This record gives sequence, structure tokens and C-alpha cells, in this order.
Amino acid sequence: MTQNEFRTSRRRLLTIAVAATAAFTSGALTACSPPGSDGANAGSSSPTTVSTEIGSVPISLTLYDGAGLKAIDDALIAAFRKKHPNVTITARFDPDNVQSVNAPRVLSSDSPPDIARIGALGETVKSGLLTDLTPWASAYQWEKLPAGQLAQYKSTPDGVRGAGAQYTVASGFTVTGFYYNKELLSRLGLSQAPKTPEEFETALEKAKAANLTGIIAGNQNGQVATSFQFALNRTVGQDKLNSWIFGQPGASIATPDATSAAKTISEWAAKGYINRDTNGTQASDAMGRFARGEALFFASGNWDSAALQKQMGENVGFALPPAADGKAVAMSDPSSNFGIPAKSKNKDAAAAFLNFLTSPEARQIAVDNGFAPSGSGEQPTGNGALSTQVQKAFADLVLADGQVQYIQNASNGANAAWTAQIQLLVDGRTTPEDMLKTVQTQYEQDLGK
Amino acid sequence: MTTLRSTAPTTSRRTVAPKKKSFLHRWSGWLFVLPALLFYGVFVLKPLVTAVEYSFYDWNGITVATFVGFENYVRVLTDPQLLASIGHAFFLIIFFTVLPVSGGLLMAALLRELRSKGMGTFARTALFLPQIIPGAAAAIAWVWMFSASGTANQMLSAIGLDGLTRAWLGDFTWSLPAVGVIGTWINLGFCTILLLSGTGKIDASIYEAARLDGAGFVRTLLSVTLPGLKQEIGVCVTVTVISALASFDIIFMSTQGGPGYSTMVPGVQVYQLGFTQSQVGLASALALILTALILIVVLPLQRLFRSED
Amino acid sequence: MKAPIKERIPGFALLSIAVIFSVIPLASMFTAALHEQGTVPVGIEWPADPQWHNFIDAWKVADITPLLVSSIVLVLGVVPAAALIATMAGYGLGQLRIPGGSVVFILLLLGLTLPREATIVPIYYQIRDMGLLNTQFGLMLVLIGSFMPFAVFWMRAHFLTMPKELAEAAAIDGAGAWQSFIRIQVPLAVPAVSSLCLLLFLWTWNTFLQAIVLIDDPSKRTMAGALQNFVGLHSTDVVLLNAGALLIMAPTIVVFLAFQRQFMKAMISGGVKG
Repeated sequence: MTQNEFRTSRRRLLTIAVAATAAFTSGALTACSPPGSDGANAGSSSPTTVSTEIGSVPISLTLYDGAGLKAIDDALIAAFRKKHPNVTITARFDPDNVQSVNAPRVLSSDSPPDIARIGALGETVKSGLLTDLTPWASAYQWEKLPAGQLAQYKSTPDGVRGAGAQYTVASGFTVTGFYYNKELLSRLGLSQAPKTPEEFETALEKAKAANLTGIIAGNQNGQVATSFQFALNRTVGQDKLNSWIFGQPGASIATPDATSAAKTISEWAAKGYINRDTNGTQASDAMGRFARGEALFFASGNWDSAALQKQMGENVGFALPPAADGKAVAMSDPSSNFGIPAKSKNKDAAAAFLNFLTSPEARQIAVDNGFAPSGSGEQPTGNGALSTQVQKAFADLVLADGQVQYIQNASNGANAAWTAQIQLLVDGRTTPEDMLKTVQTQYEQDLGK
Repeated sequence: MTTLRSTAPTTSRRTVAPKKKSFLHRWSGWLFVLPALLFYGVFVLKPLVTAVEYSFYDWNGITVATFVGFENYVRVLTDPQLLASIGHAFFLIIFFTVLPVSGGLLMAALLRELRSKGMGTFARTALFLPQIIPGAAAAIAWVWMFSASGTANQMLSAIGLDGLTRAWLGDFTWSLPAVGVIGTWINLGFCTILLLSGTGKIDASIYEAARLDGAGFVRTLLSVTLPGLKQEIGVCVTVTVISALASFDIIFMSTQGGPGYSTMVPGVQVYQLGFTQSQVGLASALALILTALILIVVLPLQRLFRSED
Repeated sequence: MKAPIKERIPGFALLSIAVIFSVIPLASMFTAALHEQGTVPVGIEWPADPQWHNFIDAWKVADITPLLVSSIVLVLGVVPAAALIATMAGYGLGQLRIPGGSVVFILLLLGLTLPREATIVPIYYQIRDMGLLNTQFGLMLVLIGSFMPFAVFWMRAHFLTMPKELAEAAAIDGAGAWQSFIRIQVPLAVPAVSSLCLLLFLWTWNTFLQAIVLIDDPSKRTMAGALQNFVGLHSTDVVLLNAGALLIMAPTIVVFLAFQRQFMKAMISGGVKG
């Protein structure tokens, strides 16, 4: 090859390369309409004929849930199978936080589960990923369920929760409050758990004076948010807070009422009422340290009761968050809010499982696993003193109609935003005002307002 | 035209005919390259092109996307939180690159100097070990080291520095350096071993000459070892800089970007935006800017360290 | 000639510090893993009564057996295929010097600096549309694709050092390109291929991001990917957590100790060539 030939062949080669790259790139670019327009989520979301009979032909369903709920789900599945031997339910679990993150994507995949825990109900409904349960609701008479529970199952087509058609049924409910160390309480000269915000604050002061940690929290996972929302529930009020979490148009968390709750928490942190290393503590560590008697209070929920009962025996008690006017208000939401993905192929069978969740057997299973029971009816028996106390608290809460959703569930990005912001707040690196503004911005972005 | 037509085939026939076999032969070689190219094209280049496409849309991953032009890029370059995550990645270069490379240089020189066989082998194995365990596992080991009751605090207390103990990964000031230490731990062995193998290529007589000149350890290190390892240092710097800027496993498993946003890096942010917050367009724009930054930093490095070869 | 003892002491001291720094996190996990379950050990401290059965318990709790199987399946699916494809491409680029090879080479060069984060979001949707989400097959395809730049690079470098006469001699004997590849080139490439396999094994085994994104079911992931799930479920018990995490990293450590020399050589020359 002469020098010249070499050069031309090289040039030709470059031309080919450029042309190939261009063709490749433009091909890839022009071939597509906007992402998501391929009809990937087309599925019939409101059927016309439904049946409460699931026959005897073998049916296999998949259930998708958070890993923390494996025990209760396994028990529910086993009990359901006893009733309907032809239905096999295979459960799949992800870590709880991963499950709520993955759910929308799993639901929109080509082989979605038939029953899935739904985290952000409004956004999921808005995306058309869920089956409208109205026909089954009338077939199974779900409208008779307690109103406070039904509200948590409903959403309008544009994603405003609390109203509209029913999309889910819960397997059980969580309930929040604070655990207290009885021995430390009496050492501080207190005869019973505080009932009002003032009494609670007094207890914290006394603990501080006695060189004890008042509240222990694992804020690496944003656990101070639990105490924060206890305050928020009082200052903002149950209805206003729920409407923010449910995504009502125009709702805002950046209000003076919310600010005063945030101020309380930042003061508590500054005064040392909350463990100083809270930002470096995992929620599970915090529970372990509370069990070993390191702190007076541990703001959490029913999910920790079995472990605490085992480790602390008689020394631990549970109470609903302190209430200003005697009306019980606390965060309480479905442990698993089960819905039927729009693309499921066995909706009748899946709906039969949802209906089973409110049966006496299922209610007993919920209580046995430390949750409050779904639906209504005779209160199942609890096991152990602490569990009974938790169940009593839930019954009181339902009676007072005081269930509030968790602020972390307001939108997809809300959990990450609250966690980071509350970490900044307890370290004095953001102001209550700025914290709430930042969360509100994230919320509006998520909801596409 | 006619002349061209008449001459062209003849010339080509004349020159191509004997080459024909080799021409075919040469093109048939493409069959060997094709499978690799196919995999690379479908699972690396195509997603890359798709990422460019996504970056111009506002998309939640489910419903139909809206075209937004450069809005996502503007957001990445103006949002303080996203910019901070990029800043953290650059800060991590101190721990992922500067410390391991300088430490590795020192260790390599020491290992060469001491020439103690038993100690040498053991030291090399021990130093290299962190490099081969999964980054996620390294993070778990260090979460335990840095926890309130962990070994880091235990050692501080042992030397009377109780005042300094803290939950390192939960501290706004110290969490980012603490995460950085994990990177130092992983990269130190790699740099040491790579640089040590480089010293083997330096002519022993140069060391001998330096010794006869009365040069001490430090002089020898600076005037013989360092210049002789230019290429190896370049490789260490390139590899470790990429590991700093594109860090994910360690931070995802140790702090998830917290407390607050103090250890947030682009890798974790891309994951959160793309998979938690359903902002696929923004996630793609950030990922592409990260890629561009890596290229901008790494390409000049190649020049810097290879120019005199 | 060695330096006098006195001068060597600071050197030994520095080296020892570095060695301790490298070993202490793993050692402190190990001592923590031997404490009684449910207790919270403090720092690094040998327990009075080492609980060796913790490792057996952690094996059961972390469900290591399916993880081990799953990781091995992934390695078997990825490493031989990737090595074969890369060897072929390396032969085409390095020995046959195919026309347009330099373009391929430049394209691959781009892939070497590409962070995994750059493509992970589109890859998720691509694999979903292919119906391969939650399958090990999907993860295998993605991994083979992402290993190509380095692997081809590596094999090309090997074939560049092979004399051209080899191929020509084979051609004169009437052997086709494929035959000469299989009979002559591959046997000669064994050392380069085996180093490559070692690296591919390590990277497949340690894959994290792609594993957690593409596979929801932890028991189908890599060992590293399963760690995320394991921590989520068992962070309450420091002792079990450490025991389980050690078990999860044990296979790579064992393989490393067995093939130490080859590993170091491969990773170092991998760095130099890359």
C-alpha cells in the first residue's frame, strides 16, 4: 500500500465510522416516540362482570409485599388455602423500603403480581396501574367496613386519596405511640405514662435532670420523624394533615402550625432530650438500646412490640401519643394495603383473598402477628401484656376515629426528603421553616402540581 | 466519464484480483468481532443513547413523557443539592486517590527497601485483600468500625481521646471523610501492589548509584522511585479517580447519602431519582453529566502521565 | 544489601500500621461475630466464650445456600461466554486486523471510562421491555455487555503480541480463520484467558448495582447484591449481621487466597493495560 492509498483507505474508514455512528444514533432517536407511549401500562382497570365464586380449577397467584410482613402473609396465605385448596399463592418479598420503591415498576411490568402492597396509592391509581374494585366492593359489601379504614382504600382517578373508588383492602393496621420504661419512669417519681403534651415534656425534663436520655431514636432512618409527627398531629390537626398526605389540591405543610411542631422537636434536640448520636443510630439499634434501659421513651409502633416484650418483659408499656384535648390521634395505616394490579389475570381470585382479609380468622392472624385487625367485629385475643396494651390502644384510636396517615407516604420523594431534613433539623443545620418549605417543594414536584 | 469508466474497472481488477482472497479473508474477520460488538452495542451503547433521549424528557417511568428540552440539565447545574453531590464526589478524590496513591508509593518503596520476604508476602496479601471483597461488604465492615460502640471509637478511647468519639457516619462534619476512609482502605492495596511491580522495572543500578551518592530513603523515593513510576502512578490515579467520581456501593450501603445530604454523591442520587422518586429524565441528565465529568478529568490525565513515554 | 537495622525500624512500623489498617475491619467483624447472639459487642475484643455456631446460624438465617447457587449460576453464565466472545473479538482486532477495527477499538475505549450509573436507568427499562426483569438471564446479558470493553481490550492486547506469521502459516496450510483460531491461537492464549476469567469471576461475583436494580428476588441475585436485603432484615442483631456478612464475603476471600499471585498479576496488568 502506498502512502496515498493508505491515507484514502483511512479516510474512507473514518467516513464509514461517522456514517455508521450517525445512522445508529439517529436510528435510535427517530425510532422512538416519547418514553412510556408504547402502551406498556394498557390493562383493563375496571372490569364489567365479576364473580365471588372462584371455582375449583387450580389457580396460582403471586403476592408482593415487604419482607417485614412475611410472617403475617405466610399465615394468611396458609389460612386462605385451607378454604380454597385450588388456589396457590406464591409470595415474593423485598425489604420494606425497597418494596414501596419498587412497587410502581413491578406493577407496570409485563408479569405483575396479582396482589401487591401499594405504598403511594394516589400516584399508583393516577398511573392506571390498579384495578378499580367497585364491582367487588358491592358484591362483597365492602362499603360496610369502618369509614376510617375505607378512606385509606380510596382514590380519585387523578390521585387524590380519601375519596373516589376503592382500590385496596388492608391485611391489618399499624398503630403508633410511645413505649416507656416502667422502672425508669418510677425512678423519676412518675406514677404513670404521660397523657398530655405538658406531662410528656415534664417527663423529658426530669429525665434530662437525672442524666437520662428522654427519647431514643434511630434518626439514621429518620426516626425522629415519629416524634415530630406526634406533635404535628396536634398542631396541624388530623383532617388537615390527612388532606396534605392524601394530596388534596392546594394542601401545604409549610404552615405556621406545622412550624411550631418542628420548633418543638428542634428544641428537644437542642436541650438533649433526644439521644445526641441519633443521626448515627439505626432504628433497630435504637430499639435495642431502649430495651437495655438506655432511655425513658421510644416513639415507634406495634411492629416493635414482640421484640420489646421478649427483651423487657414486665418493664415496658405502650401508650398512644399525648393528646391535647383528650382526643386520641396517632399515625395508623394499613400494614399492607393490598391492591390488584391492572394487568393481573386472576382478579376474581385475588379479590376473594382481599375479602378474606376481613374475616375473623384473618383478624386473629393479624393480632397474632402484632398488628391491629382489618375490618370490624369481635376483638381477637392478644398474646402477652404488651400486645394487649397495643391492641387496646388501637381500639381506642378507632373509637376516637383518630387515624392519621404517615407524612412519609405523602409522595414518592417524601420519605427521602423527610429523612434528610429531619436529620438536618436535629443537628440545627436547618430551620423549621426551611425544612417544611423544602419538603413542600419536593411534594409538589412529585405530585406534578 | 467514459475514460473513468473504462479505466476504473481495469485498474481495480488488476490490483484487486490477487488480493481478493485476502480481502474476503479480512472481512470475514468481522465475524469474530460481531458477537462482542452486538453485546456491547445492545447493553452499553443503546442504553447510553437511550439515556440521552430520556434526559430531554420529564418522565415518571410509567405514563407518557413530556419533552422538556434542556430543563433537566439546567436543573442539575443549578440545584444546590445536586451540585453539592457532585462536589462531594470530587472531595472523595482526596481519599480515593490522593491518600492511596501517596500511601501506596510509600508502602511500595518500603517493601522494596526492606526486602523481607515473609513480611513482604504477608503485607502484600493483607493490603490487597480489601480490593477483592465486594464494595457493599466493605461498607458493612466499616459501618461496624464507625458505629458508636465500634473499633474506631474503642481505639480513640484507648489512647485517651474519649472526647473525639462519636457515631462517625451520623456526624455532618465527619461522615464524608469517614466514607472516604473506606475508599482509602479499598484502594491502598491496589496502588501499593501496582507501584511495587513498577519498581521492579526500575534498573537496580540506579538505586545503587543513589545509595553510593549517600541519598537516604526519602531522597531515593523522590528522585528515583517517583520519576520511574510515572506510568504506574498514572494508572493508579485514573482508576481511583473513576472509583471516586462514580462511587455507589459503599455509600449506598453505609449512609444512603445521609445525614442530611452530607454524603450524597451522584451515583446514589441517580439511583434515588431514577428508581425511588421516578424522575427518570433528571436521573439520566445527572448520569450523563457525571459521565462527561469523568471524561473531562480522566482524558487529560492520560496525556499528563503518558506524554513522555 | 540491606540497610542497617536501626534505619529499618521506622519502615517496619509504617508498614505494620498499613497492614493493621487493612486487616482490622475484617478482624473486628470476626470477633464481633463470635459474641453471644443478641448482645452488643464493643469494638474489637475476643469473646470469653467464642460462639462458633453463630456462623451456622447465620448460614441458615441469611439463607446462604441459594445465594451461593445463584452466584455460581451467574458466574457460569457470564464468565465462559464473555471470555469466548472477547477472545474471538480480540483475535479479530489484534491478529486479523480487520478493516474498520480501529473504529471498533475507539468505541470500546469509550466504554472503559463509562460509569455503571450512566446506563443503569435505561437498562432497567430495556430489560423490562425484553421481559427479562427478575431473571438471571437478563442480568447475565447486561453483565456480558458491560464487561466487553475491558475483556476485548485485554484479549486484543494479547493477540497484538502474537506473531503475525502464525496466522499466515496456518492459512498456507489451508486452515480457515476459525480453524486456525481454535487449533493454534486459543491454546496459545490460555494464560491471558485464564487471567481474564479470574477478573470476570471477581467482577460478576461482586456485582451490586445491576443486581439490585434488575432482580427483585434476593435469592436470585449475586452474593453482594443479597447483602442489601440481608442488612435490611437483620440489622437488629450486630452479631448475626457480622457473621452473615463474613459468610457472604468468604468465597471471594478463599478464591483470592488460593489464586493470590494470579489475582494480583491480573489486576495489576489489567490496570496498566486498561
